[in-house]
Amino acid sequence: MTLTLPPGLLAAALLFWGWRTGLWLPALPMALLLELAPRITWRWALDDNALARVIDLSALLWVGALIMLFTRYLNQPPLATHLYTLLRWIPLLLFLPLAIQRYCTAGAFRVGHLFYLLRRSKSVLAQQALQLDAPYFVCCLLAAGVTMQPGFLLGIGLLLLWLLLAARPRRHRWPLTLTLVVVAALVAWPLSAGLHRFQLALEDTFSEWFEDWFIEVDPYRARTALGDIGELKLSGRIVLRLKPGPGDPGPWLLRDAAYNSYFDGVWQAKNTRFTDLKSTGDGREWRLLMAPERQSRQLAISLELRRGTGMLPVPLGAWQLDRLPVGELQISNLGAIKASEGPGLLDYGVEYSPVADRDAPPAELDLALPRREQATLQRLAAELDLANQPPAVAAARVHAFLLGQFRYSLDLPAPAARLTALETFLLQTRAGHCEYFATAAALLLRAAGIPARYATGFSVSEYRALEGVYVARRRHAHAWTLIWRDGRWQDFDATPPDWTRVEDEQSAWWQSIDDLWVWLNHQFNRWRWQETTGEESDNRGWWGVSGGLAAVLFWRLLRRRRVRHRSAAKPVAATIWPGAESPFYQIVVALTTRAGSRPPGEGLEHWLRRIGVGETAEMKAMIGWHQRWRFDPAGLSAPEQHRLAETVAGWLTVHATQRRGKRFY
Amino acid sequence: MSRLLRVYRRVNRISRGVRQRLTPLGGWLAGGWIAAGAFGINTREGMTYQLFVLLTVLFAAALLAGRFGQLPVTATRLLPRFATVGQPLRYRLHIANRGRRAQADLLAFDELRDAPPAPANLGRLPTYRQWSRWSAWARGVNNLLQPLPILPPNANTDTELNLTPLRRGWLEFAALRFARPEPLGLLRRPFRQPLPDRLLVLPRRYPVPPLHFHDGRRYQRGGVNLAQSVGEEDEFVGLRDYRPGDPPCRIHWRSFAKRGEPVVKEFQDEFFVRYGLLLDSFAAGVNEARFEAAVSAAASIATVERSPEVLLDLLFVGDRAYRFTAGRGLGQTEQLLEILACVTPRRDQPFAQWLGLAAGHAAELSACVCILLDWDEQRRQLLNLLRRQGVETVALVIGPPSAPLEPGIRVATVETLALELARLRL
Repeated sequence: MTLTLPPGLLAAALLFWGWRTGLWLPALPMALLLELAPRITWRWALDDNALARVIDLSALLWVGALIMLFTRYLNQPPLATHLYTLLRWIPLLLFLPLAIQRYCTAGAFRVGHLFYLLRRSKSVLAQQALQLDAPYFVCCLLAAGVTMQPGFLLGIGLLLLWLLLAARPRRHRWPLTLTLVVVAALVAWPLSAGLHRFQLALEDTFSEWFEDWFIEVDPYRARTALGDIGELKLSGRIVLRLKPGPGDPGPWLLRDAAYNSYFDGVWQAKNTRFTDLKSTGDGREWRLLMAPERQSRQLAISLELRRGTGMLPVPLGAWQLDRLPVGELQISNLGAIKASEGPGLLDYGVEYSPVADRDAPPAELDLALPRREQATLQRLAAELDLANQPPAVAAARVHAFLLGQFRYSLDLPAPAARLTALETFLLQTRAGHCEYFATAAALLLRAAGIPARYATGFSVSEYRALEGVYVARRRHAHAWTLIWRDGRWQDFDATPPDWTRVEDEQSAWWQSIDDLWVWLNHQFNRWRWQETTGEESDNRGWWGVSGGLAAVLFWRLLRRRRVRHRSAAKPVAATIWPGAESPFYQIVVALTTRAGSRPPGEGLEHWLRRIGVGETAEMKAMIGWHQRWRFDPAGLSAPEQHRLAETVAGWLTVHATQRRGKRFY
Repeated sequence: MSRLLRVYRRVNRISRGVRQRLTPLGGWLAGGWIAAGAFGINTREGMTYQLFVLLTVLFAAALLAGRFGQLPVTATRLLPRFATVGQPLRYRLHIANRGRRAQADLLAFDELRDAPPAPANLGRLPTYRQWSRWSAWARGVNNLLQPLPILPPNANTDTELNLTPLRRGWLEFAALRFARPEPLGLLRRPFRQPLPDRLLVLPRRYPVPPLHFHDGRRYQRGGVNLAQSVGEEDEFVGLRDYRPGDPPCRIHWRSFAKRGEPVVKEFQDEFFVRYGLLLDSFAAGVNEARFEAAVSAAASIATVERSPEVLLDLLFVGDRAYRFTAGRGLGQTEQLLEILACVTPRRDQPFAQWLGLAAGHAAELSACVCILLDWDEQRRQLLNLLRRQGVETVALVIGPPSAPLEPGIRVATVETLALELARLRL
């Protein structure tokens, strides 16, 4: 588990990672910190518990990163993108234990530090030293590969060459290792390019086959159903925030879809066509209509967009969307706006005017009555005397009818015998939720010959002082009617206005806590997505918390006992014994390289004789001087030392000549 | 189950092979290779696939480069007579390099004969980890690759290897394996030299206080032949120093007066002190660890310091009832340890054999230490039988016992055995 890397290699790998990922700012000080370690003479005296806490802290960082990425994944899949982000951060996340390893007296962690179950274990595995240098180097290489900049293969090739040259076995010379690595890199270059092309070809083939067999050409189907709203509406989770412009008192009906065909409890958007819109300006401005000449208002809407795709709720008459960083925006002929390839959080502005209208004009479908309820609807229309009335009058009568004789209720009784759900609502229960009111209003108006559509979205009227914005909760999801009046489509909400009170009564007691959590999550998401939303957000709080934690850690480390560190490169003369400077050791080193090391317990003279160099008079004289220098209390006189040095030099010269002549002992 | 064990064996062999073939650097880069493969699946998201490809080519090159060349090295192993469970053993290796080049960076380790554990010992469905531990235990050693010094060309080199036995009994060496790294330092090429050998591993032993029983000598049938000297027969043969337990009537007062220290008369043999050490090998329903603890306890007591005139009988039931005697020139303690190193538990013998063994020798014993694997009615009868014969008895149950113990019976678990043996007062 222990493997020492050559000096400078880790710093180079870190700089390579910083260059590839654009994280220069952290990479530079990190590399500097690692490379300064051998030159700094003190070390923290961290005990076993402190080392385990360092691992705990690092694990905490990992957990935080995973939570952050998981939240991002929920907002914007796919998972692979976030896994790559995690990979990119790994050198950051692992740096703390590596730096501590470099700056503590222990010099290495134990395997036991990594696992709680092994912390107190005395097993061989738990006690095994674990140096993080080699895994950190591998992580740097992996993390550097997350971007598509060219030069990656060259960089990793050079770094691996450096590593392999330094770690090569002693019996092999460096040109062989160099040749092998260069040949490997030259082979890897076309292979990796081929692998890339092969994958692209495979993907194309597979996706064509998959689309042919499993996916319809247009998967979008706009459907809604009566009775499905109950549970969804009861949820108090805030899904949308709205900040009105000056002079816009609200409340607002934000539509995300409209439907034109009703059958058996289900509204459908038939003959729907989506048109691609083109952005203008900085790419985040989307023009839906020509700017109206008057009554233009502004709204700022903040909305979390699951998976980066979804319908955008906008008020009727929206003519421009600002600050909307999505890749694709489509609008249907019924007014529904679909965004895709967007971030997890949208914070966009809407310019709208009550007089503007982009929806398709009425068609035959907007007057069609369902066959099963047709008789009932026509009879009721006749009772209300809606026929041949102007739209405004008819709408007022329907409104009065529904408000006066019906009540809002979340109870959904079973339909009466031989009656549909809508007929049960109209004739018997006279109570229901907004979908019933909207459907009944739309169909009664159609029975009177007035084109009408069914719209869904959010009704926004709740103001939250904490955030200073209006919010829409899930239970504020609403359905209403679009009526063709004065040559344009207009909102017509026939649901009794007390429906929000009834809904709010259903709110849970923990809603304020939930709201707080949702707000924190929203703030986090705003920070996360600030680059894409273009918001100049104030990060001082986040930096403050991080800085505070770092300061606590630094303070705790400062309070640790620091001890002088002896650099491995400069051994202190504590282990010097008499005669240690004898030049005869040069001969010993030379012979060890050629003939192998002297086994423990074997005397120097015996060893020299055994390997065949100890019998000459010259060698015997040198051994005599050397041994006297080492063991004679009187030592060796200066002239004798000089003679020994000369003899050793001469012997080594002859020895080198013999080596070139390929003579072996 | 046998199919599962076959899979385990195969996985274990592959795993050991990979560990032996990968250098530490190769291990980390192999980890990076796997991660690069996983993250490089999508070549449009990043370029880690290039790292994957480069490492693949590097490992392929390393594999190819390692195929060249032979290892002109042979070795002989010089093993000691015994080893002890859990005690690191260093032994010499005599290596001859017959090549023209020095060999550096070599590693070596001893390959022991695989002894796959019997399914009966493994429980119903062992996990791979359990099986792996069992396998290492049955093999006897969990040895690792050890670095060798530089081997000079055309020369012999002596070095040392280490191993730590995991179990008692015979270790069967099959071969010596060398491993040599290839030029990139990622992989090692293994070389195998068949080198069969055997080493007896003695049981683990713990410190025990000296044996001091109060009562003395018993008549020994054929005692003169059994022991070479001293006893209490009527014929006076000499004098010796007084030892605790000698009757005052044997004191030679004249010599006492002359020396100032008590001296006793010695008589021709036939009455002397004989201790028994009963090892309960009736291991039905007892796990392996408890039986090993019992053998360790017996070995610890067998090696405890005792008077040179005392005989020690080791009594146990193997395929039949056995009695081995040490002391007074009849046998050495190390022979008792050799026997204990090879004792196997009996799960099929009736306990009556035990009673017969004890009854047959109780009359000759002065005292007896019984190492029991459990406490039940049959073992109670055994102790009563010994006590009725006037044998001073100490019983140690390797627990936990399945029935309440009588007062005076000691109990030790596998974990507390060392402590209980250190506290043992005879």
